[in-house]
Amino acid sequence: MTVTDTEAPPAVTSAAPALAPPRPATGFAALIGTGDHRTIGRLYIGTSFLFLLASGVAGLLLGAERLDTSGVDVVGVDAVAEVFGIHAVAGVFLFLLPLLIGLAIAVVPAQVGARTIAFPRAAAASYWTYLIGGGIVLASFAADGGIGGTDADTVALFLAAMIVVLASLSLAAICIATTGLALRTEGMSLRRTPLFTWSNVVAAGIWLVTLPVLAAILLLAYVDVKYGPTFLAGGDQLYLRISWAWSQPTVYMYAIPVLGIVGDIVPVAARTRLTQHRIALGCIGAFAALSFGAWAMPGFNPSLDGPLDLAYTDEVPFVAVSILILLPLLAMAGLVADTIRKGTARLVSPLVWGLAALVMLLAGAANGALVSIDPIDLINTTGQSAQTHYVLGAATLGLLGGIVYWAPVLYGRRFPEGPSTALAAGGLLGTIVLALPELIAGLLDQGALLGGPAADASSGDVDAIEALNIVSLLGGAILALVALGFVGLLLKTATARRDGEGEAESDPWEGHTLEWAGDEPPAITSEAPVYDARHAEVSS
Amino acid sequence: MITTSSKFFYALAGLLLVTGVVYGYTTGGGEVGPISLGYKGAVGDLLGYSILMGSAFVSAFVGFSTTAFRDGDPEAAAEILGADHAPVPVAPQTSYWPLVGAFGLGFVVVGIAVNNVFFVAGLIALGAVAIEWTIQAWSERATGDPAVNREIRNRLMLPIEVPIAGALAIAIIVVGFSRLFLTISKENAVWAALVAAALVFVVGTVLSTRPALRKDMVAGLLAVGAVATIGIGIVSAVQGEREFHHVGDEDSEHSDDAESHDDDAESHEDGAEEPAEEHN
Repeated sequence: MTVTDTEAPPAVTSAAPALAPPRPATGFAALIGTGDHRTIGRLYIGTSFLFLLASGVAGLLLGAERLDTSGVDVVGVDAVAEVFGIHAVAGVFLFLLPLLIGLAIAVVPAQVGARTIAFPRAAAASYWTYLIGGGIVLASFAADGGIGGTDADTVALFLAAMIVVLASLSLAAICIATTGLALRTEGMSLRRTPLFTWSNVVAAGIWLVTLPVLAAILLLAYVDVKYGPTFLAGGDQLYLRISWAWSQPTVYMYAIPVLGIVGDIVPVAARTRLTQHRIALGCIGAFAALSFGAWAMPGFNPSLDGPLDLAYTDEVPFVAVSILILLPLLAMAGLVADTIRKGTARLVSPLVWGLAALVMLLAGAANGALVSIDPIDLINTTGQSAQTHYVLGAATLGLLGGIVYWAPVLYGRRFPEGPSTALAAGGLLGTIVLALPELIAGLLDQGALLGGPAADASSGDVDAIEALNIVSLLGGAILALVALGFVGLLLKTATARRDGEGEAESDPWEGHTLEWAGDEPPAITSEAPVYDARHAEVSS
Repeated sequence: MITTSSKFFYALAGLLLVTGVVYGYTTGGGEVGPISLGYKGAVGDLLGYSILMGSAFVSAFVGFSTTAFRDGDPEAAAEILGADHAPVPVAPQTSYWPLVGAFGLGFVVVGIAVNNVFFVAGLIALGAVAIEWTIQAWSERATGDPAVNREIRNRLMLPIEVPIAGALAIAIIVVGFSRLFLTISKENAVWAALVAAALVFVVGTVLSTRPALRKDMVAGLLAVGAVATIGIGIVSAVQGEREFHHVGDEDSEHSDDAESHDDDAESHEDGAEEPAEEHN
């Protein structure tokens, strides 16, 4: 018999050691793994400016191409469609919309009193997917793909990457809308929601019913390119198939948050409440509803090889929407003017940016109304391009104004006032000088597309058109300089805290809404709780 | 109670519905087709009509949802939870899975357009991300203590992650270097192998003599090595293998790779005749 001696286990003399708390990541590791909404917003903003470079260079090339209307010499006939594609796609889906989303991701949670955005990791995933998808989009253009490309594989690559980019932006829109709807602090009903947040909630709704439609068109085009023409006659008419996404009325959906930005900046600059906050909410909602434009796309021609059916431009809905959209804009402009009149306005740089954006948006809407009036005959002329440039220029000016206004929230520092104001004025001037000559040239029948079906429409006064094109190119150059200057100021502001320059300013504008409240937010009893609290202190 | 956001979405749904019906009639719809959703007659332009009506129903659904959830009102949320205040969501811990997922999606995109290998790799990455993301999200809410949560997560996932990561590292090294060795000439392959071995030796020695080296620095070194290996592998694969040709006489029972173009050319210059001999 074997006896096995077993040693008794040592007596437990102390409790198990406590687990060390997870060590937070730092530096680059923290950046790529971040779930912080401000960091994600800053990443979106920074990356969108990188993509602006591609769109801006392509735009300047197209402007140079129009200097001589007798031929396509600067970029060449073969490449002109691709350059058009880069200018439009990178400008709208890789620059403007991501810039909107970046600002919203950074600011909306702070405005509604939340510590984070809804679904923060989804927001992070949307950013990284946008970055990688956008990179692939540009790479596909470089490899003879994209709009107007001739290599089937890289055209397919472009289409697939664009679908991914649209999906990522839609995901970000879901995060923003959910934050505005579901993470508001106690007491903040939707009626008391700051205008920027409200504008992003309704804009996200419009984006979510529009971007998937565009993605579906791209998916059909992908099937065509990959497996033979079935739905859209291959990729030959791709530009015309998707250009509704930056034409009237869809183009307005990129400007919805601008109304919110203007609506938040103006009362702060005027040191008073916004006249009729509820009406402003309604104006933004109406503007957003009228900007839904997925219906205004070319019809599907069963014969595949026939011309695109653009009959919607003659239809009542198109004309009605094009004219009706002026009403909420005019109402909003009236509220802004009344607020400035009642208050004691300071001419701070965000106000200059905001007013410039509103004026350009009104100009764009007026231009759009002209486009919809059939006898004026601006369809397929640069008169349409002018409207797109007015509206997208307005959206950009408004967004840059928003970045200047919320820079203390984003970067802990304020933009220098003088250079920022000068850039705002330059942006206004550049947009007018870019778009107005295009509108006039459109009235002289200059075709919208270079080398495309409408190129021969430039049969009017050629000398006058070429002179207008020189002026328009000058406008583009001014905007390029403004963009470079703004990026320089942004870099300086963003690195100021790291370099210890200047003093941190948590509320340099004496803001009205919760993002300016600091660590002890006041009770929400109106749409301007911080303004209320400040005035209650003064009066007591 | 119909909340503010519900009103917006209901209004949007109504607008889209009316627009859809008008659109149906103005694009050739039948008498009752557009108002019967095509049940009795044509709806006009099918795509536009479908989009508008679909959007209308989506808006109505969102409106209904916001009615049901009362605009995500915090007072309502607190009431449902039986608490005085609704819990305040906070920013999550660092997670690299969103980034990995984005790369996976990028691979899928490149794969479906260009090469199936990338597509499969992307799908695998997305599958891994789905599992890891789910487990991480679950474990972070397992208890109120972040340290315990991390321990729970590690106990569950490390027995799976470590072998897979090890196999992946081996696969990267094997595939990457094999592509390199098959691309460059035999002599250069020997030198490349020696350099790689020397690098491994030097880095290993440095790491072993400095146990206090920061963890992120070690991770950074390994990441640089992995990226370099993958990069070398991709560049080599794009370049393609050097040309191999069959050597040995007719009676030979085996074949072997011979030489690159250069060596082949040299053999001809030397007047070597068939059957070719293996050159060194």
